[in-house]
Amino acid sequence: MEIQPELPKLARKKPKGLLRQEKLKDLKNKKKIQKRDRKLRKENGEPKQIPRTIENTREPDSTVFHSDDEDFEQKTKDLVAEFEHDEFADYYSELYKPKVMITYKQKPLKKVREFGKILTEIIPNSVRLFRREASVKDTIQAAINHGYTDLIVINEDRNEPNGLILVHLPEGPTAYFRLSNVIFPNKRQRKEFTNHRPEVITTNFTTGLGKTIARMLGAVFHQEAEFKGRHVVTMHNQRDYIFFRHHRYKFLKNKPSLRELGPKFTLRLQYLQEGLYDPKCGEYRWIMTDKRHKIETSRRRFFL
Amino acid sequence: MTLNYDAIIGFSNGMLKGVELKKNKFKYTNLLDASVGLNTLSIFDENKTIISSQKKIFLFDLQNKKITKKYYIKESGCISGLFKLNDFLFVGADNGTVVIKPIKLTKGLVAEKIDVGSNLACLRKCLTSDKYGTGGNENPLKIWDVETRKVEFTAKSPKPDMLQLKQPCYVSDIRFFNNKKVVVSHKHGVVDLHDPLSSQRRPVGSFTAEKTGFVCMNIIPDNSDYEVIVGSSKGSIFHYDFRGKTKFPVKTFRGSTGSVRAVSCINYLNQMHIMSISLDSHIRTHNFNSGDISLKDYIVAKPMALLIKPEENSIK
Repeated sequence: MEIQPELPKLARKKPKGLLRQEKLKDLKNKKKIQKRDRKLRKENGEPKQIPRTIENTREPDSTVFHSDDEDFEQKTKDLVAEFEHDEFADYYSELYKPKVMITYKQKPLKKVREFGKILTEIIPNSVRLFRREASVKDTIQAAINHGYTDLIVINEDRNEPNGLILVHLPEGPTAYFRLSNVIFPNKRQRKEFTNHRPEVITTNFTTGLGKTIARMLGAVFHQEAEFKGRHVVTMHNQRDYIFFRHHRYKFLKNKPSLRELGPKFTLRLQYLQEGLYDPKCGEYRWIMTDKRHKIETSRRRFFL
Repeated sequence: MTLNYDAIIGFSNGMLKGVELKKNKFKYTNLLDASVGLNTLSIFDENKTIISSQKKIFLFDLQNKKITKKYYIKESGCISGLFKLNDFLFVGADNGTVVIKPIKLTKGLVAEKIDVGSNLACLRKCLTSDKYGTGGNENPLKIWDVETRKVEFTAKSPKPDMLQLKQPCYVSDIRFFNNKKVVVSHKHGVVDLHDPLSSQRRPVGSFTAEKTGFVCMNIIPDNSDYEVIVGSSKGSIFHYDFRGKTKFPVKTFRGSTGSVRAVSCINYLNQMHIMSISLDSHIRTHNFNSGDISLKDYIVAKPMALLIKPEENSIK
C-alpha cells in the first residue's frame, strides 16, 4: 500500500449542546472544589471569608467621614453646626408640627388618586387637594399662605404614578424623585390601617447629600409617634434607590414579627434644588438630569 | 488683606473660613463660628471685611477675629449686595432700594436712599471708576454715578423673539471691563456685553447656553477686555471670549455636580487657576490652560460667598 500523506487534523467545531454540557461540568467541578476548601477552612478554624458585593466595593466618596481622616473632628463639628442652621433645624428642634399638602398632576386618573389617598392615610396631618389648572408655583404660594410646611406633587404617565416632587416650605429645598414599582395594599392590608401616627426609620444614608435627603424625607412625618398603633414606616437606601415600606410590628414571646401593610414603592433622586420649585432659573445642589453619563462613570459609584 | 489667607469663604450658616493654598492641599483657619445666616462678603480695607446677613452689616477684623462694628438697615428686604467707597457703605436691598450709609455715625450725615427698580439681585462697583451697576428680576442693567447719584446708562429689556413674545430678564451678576464695557450674566443662560459709550442700548455681543442658568461671573485679570468666566446653575464653568463669531464657549471646566456660587482666578504654583465654590459643598481649583481639576476638597457646609486676596488677583 502506498503511504498516504498525513492529513492535518480538522479543527472540528463541537456541537452547541456538547459545549454547554462541558461548561456545566466545569462549573460543577469548580463548586465542588470551593465546597471542599470551605470545609477545610471550617475544620482548621479559620475565619469566614467576606463575599465581594457592590456595596462593600463601592468607590470612596469624599463626603463620607471615616474616623481615621486627617481633620475628622473639625468636619464633624462643621456638620453639627450645619445641621443646627439648615432648613430642617426648626423641625428637628420641634418648633413646629408638620402640615402636608398632597396634590397630583392637572387631571389625575383613578390610580394616582388612589395612591394619594393612601399617602394621606399614612402621613399624619396631611390634606389632599386637586390643583386643577393652577401651576406648581402658584400651588406653592397658596400652600405657604395657608401655613403648610411640605408639599408633595405626584405625577403619572399612562395611569401609572411615575414622579414625585417634594417641596419643603417656605424656603425650600425642592427634590424630584422618579417613582417606580408602586404596589398598592390589598383589601386585607387596607383593613389594618389605623389613624395612629407611625414611627419613621431612614436607614443607610451615608453621604452628605444622602443625609440631607434623609432629613428632608423625615421632616414630612410628625415628630412624635403613637406607639400604640405599632406602625412603622421605613425608607431604606440601597444603591441610590430609596425603598418605602410600611409595616405593623408585634412582639411575640421571643422575637418580633412584622406584617406588611403597603404600599410599596421605590424612589430615585433626580435632582435637589435650592429654594422653591423653579426649573428655569433655579440653582441645583445636585442634578442628574441631562448629564447622567457624565456622573455615572462607574457601576460602583453611589451618591446617597 | 495683609494676612496669609489666599481666599476667604463665607458659609450660609454664618461660618467664615480662611483658605491657604498649599502644595496639593487646602489649609483652613476658622475665623467665625456659625451664628446667623450670611448673604454677602466684601472688602473693607487691608485687614477688615464686611459681612452682611439679612438686614445687618458687620465689620469683621481678620487679625483679631472679632466683629468691630454693626449697622442695620430699615428696609423690608434682605441685603443682596454691598460695597464700600470712600466714607460710605452702599447697601442694596431686595425690595429695590440702595441705601448709602456713612461709616462714621456723625450727626450731620443721614442715610440716603435711591430707588433702583424692584427685585434687586445684584449690586456691583466698577473697580477703575466711581460707578456702580444694578440689576435684578425684570430689572435690566442700570449704571449709576456715585457723585451725582443719577442713572448714566439703562439697558433695554431683551428683544422679543420671532413670534413677538416677551423674553425674560433676570440679572444675576455684573462685571466691569477696563475699557468701560460692561458684562451682564442672566439667570436663564445669557451673557450680554453692553457698551455704555455707544448709543446702542441693546447688547453689543451675547452668548446663550441651553438648559442652564448663569449664577456668577468674573473677568480674567490678564488685561484682556473681552474674556469672561461664568459659573452655571448645573455645575459647569464656561470660558467665553467676545472676540470672534463662535457661539460656543472657548473652554468648559467640569467636575461640579451643584450650582457654582462664586468663581475667581487665582495664582497657584505660578500658573493661572480658577477657584470655585459650589452648592454641593466643595471647593475646586481648575488649571486654566489644561482645564483639569488640580485641587478639590469637601467643606461640609453650604458656601455662599468667596473673597480672593486682591494683590494675587492680577497675574502678568
